[in-house]
Amino acid sequence: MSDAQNDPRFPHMSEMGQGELAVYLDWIKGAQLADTEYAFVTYTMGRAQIKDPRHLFAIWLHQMGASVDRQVKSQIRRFFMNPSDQVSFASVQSAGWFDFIPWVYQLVATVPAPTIMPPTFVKVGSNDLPY
Amino acid sequence: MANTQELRDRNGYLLGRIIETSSTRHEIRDANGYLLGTYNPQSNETRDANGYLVGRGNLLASLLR
Repeated sequence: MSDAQNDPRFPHMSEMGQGELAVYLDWIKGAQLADTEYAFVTYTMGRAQIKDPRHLFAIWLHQMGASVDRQVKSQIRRFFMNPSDQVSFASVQSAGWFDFIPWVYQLVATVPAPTIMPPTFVKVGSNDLPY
Repeated sequence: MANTQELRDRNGYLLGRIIETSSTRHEIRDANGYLLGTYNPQSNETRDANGYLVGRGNLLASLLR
């Protein structure tokens, strides 16, 4: 039996999710990473060739539709943007995220990555400073 | 009796608990017992403490912080 089939998450996801779990487990083993939120988000971004976790968050928002509660949005933004390397991901309570990965593949090309405009500042000379 | 599972970080610090209160309701609570979200295995949906949808499948672990 493979590592994936012995994993507690395995029975709680679709066949596509199970395929992702198998690849994920191989990857963290090879990379000697702990099975954490951080490893999962890094894996998902790598698999979908996403450079910015904000893009992943935008895909989740798109998949959820228009009516996402503000607090839920904030929680999931934290999950994608600041994943913990302490919180274990190796439990049934994270199984659903592996079924999210096929959505990422499907939407990555159509949901644009958020455009981040760096702030621009006008150089202020000493003569322009207020007295 | 409800089945309870403790969630701890690598240092053994208690982060929260998963409580299976019924076959249709699994709760995640923080270390102080504050409700963070629920998962319904029948509908296969995870919701936050206010009942707002977080997504399909069991996503409770991501509500922990």
